[in-house]
Amino acid sequence: MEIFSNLQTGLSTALQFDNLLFCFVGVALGTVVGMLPGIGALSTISMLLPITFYMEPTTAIIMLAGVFYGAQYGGSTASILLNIPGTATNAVTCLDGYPMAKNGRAGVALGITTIVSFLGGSFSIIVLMFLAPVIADLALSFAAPEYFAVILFGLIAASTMSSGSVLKGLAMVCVGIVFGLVGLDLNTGVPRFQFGFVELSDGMSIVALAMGLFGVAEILANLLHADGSPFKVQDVTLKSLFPNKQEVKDSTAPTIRGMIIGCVCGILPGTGATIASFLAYATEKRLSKHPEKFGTGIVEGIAAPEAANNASVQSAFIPTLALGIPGDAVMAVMLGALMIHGIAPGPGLVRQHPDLFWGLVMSFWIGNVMLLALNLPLIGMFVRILRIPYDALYIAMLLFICLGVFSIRNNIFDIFLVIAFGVVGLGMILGKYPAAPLLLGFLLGPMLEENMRRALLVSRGDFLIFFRSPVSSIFVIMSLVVLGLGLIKPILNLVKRWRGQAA
Amino acid sequence: MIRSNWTWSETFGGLVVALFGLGVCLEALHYPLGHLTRMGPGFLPIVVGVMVVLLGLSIAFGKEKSVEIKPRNLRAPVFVFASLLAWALLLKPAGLVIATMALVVIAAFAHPKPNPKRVLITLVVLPVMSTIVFVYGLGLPIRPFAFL
Repeated sequence: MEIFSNLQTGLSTALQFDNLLFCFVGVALGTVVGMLPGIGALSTISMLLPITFYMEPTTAIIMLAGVFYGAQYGGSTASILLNIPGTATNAVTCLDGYPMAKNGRAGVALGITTIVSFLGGSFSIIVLMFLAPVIADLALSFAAPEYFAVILFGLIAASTMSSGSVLKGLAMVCVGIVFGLVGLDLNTGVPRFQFGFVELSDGMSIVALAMGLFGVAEILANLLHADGSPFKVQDVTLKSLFPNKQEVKDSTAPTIRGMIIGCVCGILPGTGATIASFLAYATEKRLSKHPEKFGTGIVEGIAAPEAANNASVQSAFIPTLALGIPGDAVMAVMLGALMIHGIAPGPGLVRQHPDLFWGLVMSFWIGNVMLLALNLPLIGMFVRILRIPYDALYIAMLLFICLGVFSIRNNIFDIFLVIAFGVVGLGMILGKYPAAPLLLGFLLGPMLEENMRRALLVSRGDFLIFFRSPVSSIFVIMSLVVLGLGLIKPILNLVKRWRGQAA
Repeated sequence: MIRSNWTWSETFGGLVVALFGLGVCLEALHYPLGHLTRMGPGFLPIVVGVMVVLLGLSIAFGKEKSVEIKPRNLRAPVFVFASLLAWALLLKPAGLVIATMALVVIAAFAHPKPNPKRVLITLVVLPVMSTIVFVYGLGLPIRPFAFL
């Protein structure tokens, strides 16, 4: 059985001392930043990127991934205890988690969210183990037209299916593509959008982009709305964590539905953990015999969304690792980390770097078990972290951003780039322009162009080549459908407005 | 704390996006366009640039539901960007310690209620820590004090 030897390879990679250590560092850090409302997984991973330069690629990815799924465990803690989501994906957990805490059942809420987080994560890891290699094998036969179609679909879906304005999402994808094209054109050597800066010949640094758009902008977003007072947190004891029989019974079915919803949302581009948790909550409310009780502090209302968001962060690795197409911003940064190490993402990854792929998969198991241990017995200790005042944090984060960006190429230019992207990011926060599509465009833009060029070269300029193979025609048609569905409302609005003016 | 009635204008935002797209198109016109059989480096930028212009204009004049964000602490961006700029400008001429101290002092004012005690602790801890970790630990080519 091939799978067993793969699992063995993976396990021996994941159990190497460095990988174990950084897996622990990742998940512990993830729990902490997930818990702290001022800082999330995305900005943390962006800030950690420079450190990964000093690591083996497998170790780096294991650590970054640990931060990502660890944050989902930590995030619910702030939702329950403070009524402030630790990360955006835990926003729904506030609805029933905080009332539970007010009723004196904070412990049970924390216990249940940790256990269902583990179950949701485990479910998606199993799906990942079986589905990713299959998809990757199918994708090995892909040529340029298929790649073009899949990337196009990824970009369009990511910008139209996420929450918020479709127009803004699409605009940001396009802006991202432009940023991605900066530098020397690989085919002709023509410098594009360089404006004489030699530092830009290799393209803009993804670290500077991510730090500016996610690191600096997130600090600003917090400071803009801060009123400066620290949080008050109650203590949590180990004994209070365990749910009773009725609570276990009530949360079983919601957990199972939540993890299936989460797993599917994670695989689809654009629908990440946030949408998964909202969808899971809405589903439970609709199926429930007593929907009026939602929001008063019932276990169904925290089990479903927490199972969903953890399932979704693990299954998000499926398109990223199997196809090299990231579905959201965190996955895009993660792919960026791989590319920094010279590992080309794509369907070849599973076969060419089995130690990386299977090592990562096995580290997910190890990391999730570590998280279970961190979040159950040690939760009382972690909760105190919430008392750290934000003013002590953000200054250190700013310095870390500066040092991190500088350390990559030892040049000051990249810091100015961070400032520029910080300004752009600030504008995007104020105007509610989504940042994830921009990063996806930045990363996938060059791949899109390259594959389009190749496809049109083969077909001698005939666009019908994208409809010649079933895979590419399916994805092109799906892209057009998704685009059309997303644009119906804005177009109707425009038409209405023009008619209104004419009358 | 500074409170304001400032709100975001969709028209302004959309026009900025459209202008960016226009700039992209104008710049990309200088690159060889190529033709469909052999796309030149100017092909995709122009296509994307035109799309950005169109999307920007539809955001500006499309009248979607306008966003309502009222920031409470408008001085934060000014001080955060100033602190980063100060660090970048001071690093080479003054050294890591001074650049970091400048960053701490300026960034502290971005907080709505700066706490003098914690700022003072940060002012000592961060330069020392960063020098130990990044200069002596990781060996970054920066001097702690440029004039020593």
